[in-house]
Amino acid sequence: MPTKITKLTKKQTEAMKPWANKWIEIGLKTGETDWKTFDKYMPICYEKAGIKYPIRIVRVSSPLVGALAASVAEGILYKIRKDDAVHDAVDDAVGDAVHGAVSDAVHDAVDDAVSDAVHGAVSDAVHGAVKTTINIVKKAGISISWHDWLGGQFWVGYYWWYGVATVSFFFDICRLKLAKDIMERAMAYRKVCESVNYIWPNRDFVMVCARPTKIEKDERDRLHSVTGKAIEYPDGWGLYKINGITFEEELWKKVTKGELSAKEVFDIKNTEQRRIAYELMDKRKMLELDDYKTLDSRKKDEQGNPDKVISFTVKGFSKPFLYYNCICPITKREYFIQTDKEICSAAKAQSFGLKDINWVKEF
Amino acid sequence: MKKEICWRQGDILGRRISDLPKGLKASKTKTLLQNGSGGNPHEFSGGIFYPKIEGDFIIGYLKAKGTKLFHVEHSPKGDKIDDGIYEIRRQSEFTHEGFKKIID
Repeated sequence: MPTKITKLTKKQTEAMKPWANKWIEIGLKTGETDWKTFDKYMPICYEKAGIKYPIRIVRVSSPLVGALAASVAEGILYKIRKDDAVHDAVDDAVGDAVHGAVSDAVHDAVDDAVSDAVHGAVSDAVHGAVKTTINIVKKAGISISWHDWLGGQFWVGYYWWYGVATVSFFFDICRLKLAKDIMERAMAYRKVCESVNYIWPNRDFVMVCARPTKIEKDERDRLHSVTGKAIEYPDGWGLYKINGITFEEELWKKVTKGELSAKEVFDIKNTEQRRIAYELMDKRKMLELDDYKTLDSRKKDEQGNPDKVISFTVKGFSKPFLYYNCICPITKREYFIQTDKEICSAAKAQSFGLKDINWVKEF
Repeated sequence: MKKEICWRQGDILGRRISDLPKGLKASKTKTLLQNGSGGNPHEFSGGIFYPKIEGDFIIGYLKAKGTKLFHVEHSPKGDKIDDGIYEIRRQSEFTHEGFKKIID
């Protein structure tokens, strides 16, 4: 068994794609949480870090609960100390070129499919809620802060020693053999990541979150569901997402059930939500808009896509509402951007605060 | 009327200008806009960014030299822009109450 790898064989290179697929599956696993494996290997992680395993192991049913509870506890307890031993050992034993090749292929595939789409969404939502709570609590004179977390299954695609998909490729496929202690550390962290969702490790407690009960994505790996939450945890907490865009429950219901009028769709303040709502809207509703008309249109804008300026009136407003309707040259998404210009090129330039533009590049 | 020379990456635009305004302070990060198109950041390599909010549109100035712009959807592998000095603008929409930043 090699103790250092400087070059991959053809067989090892070919193994990268199926390896990535295997870890994507692990990263997106839903349903039963493997508490038994977690309870077996998390104490080893602590032992290897030289920290006594706490008595209080708190299982939570959603990352929101865990993040809030851990942050409150963080206000009075010690912060964790990170252990860099596995990172250093693997870094020394695997050449930069080889790590780069494996990392690019495995990390990119797994991280794109798991971390970017799913962890990113959950992280944004949880961070936002916790930040709000921290600000409220701070106003009451109590100092708390965000508690560091580990992503468990959602972090299997991360870089370096965090990315067990990459590290385990060297161990399992390339048969890399390192010191027993290092192999044990890597195995313990791998098993923990395979078994649970988020973890808040602390000297005085460990909070650990159950797996989601469901994760639904679209063909582009974005969280997506028009029948319920796109990601949901056992306590019911989750996120309503359509093609990766977050919606509040009430708006999501109206959009997915076709309950919004065209005017209400155009009233949506968030342009991405407005775009999605328009995509899902029955286009015959446009005819319900008062005085609806097209003021200007081009078959091809500067990038070869059609665009137009539409207009309609709303009771209570003296001036009509004008929207510049365009298509993003890269994503091909269709947008409606409010304007007061009646000509397409002017409306497009106005959206950047300019009057006349020579577009040298749009991407 | 003289046309402005511009490039655009999603909801940010670079307008070519001849000189940097005075009194700018270079950014320590390689991010032009954190919450850009689709909620994802617009980032760059090469060059120097000087953040400065001015009015409804300008978010800073970019001195581009061998600069590549990155965005997870628009330029995942990076797109080169010509060397030069650019005023960086963020797309906003006109409303009956005035301009407001595009929220996405």
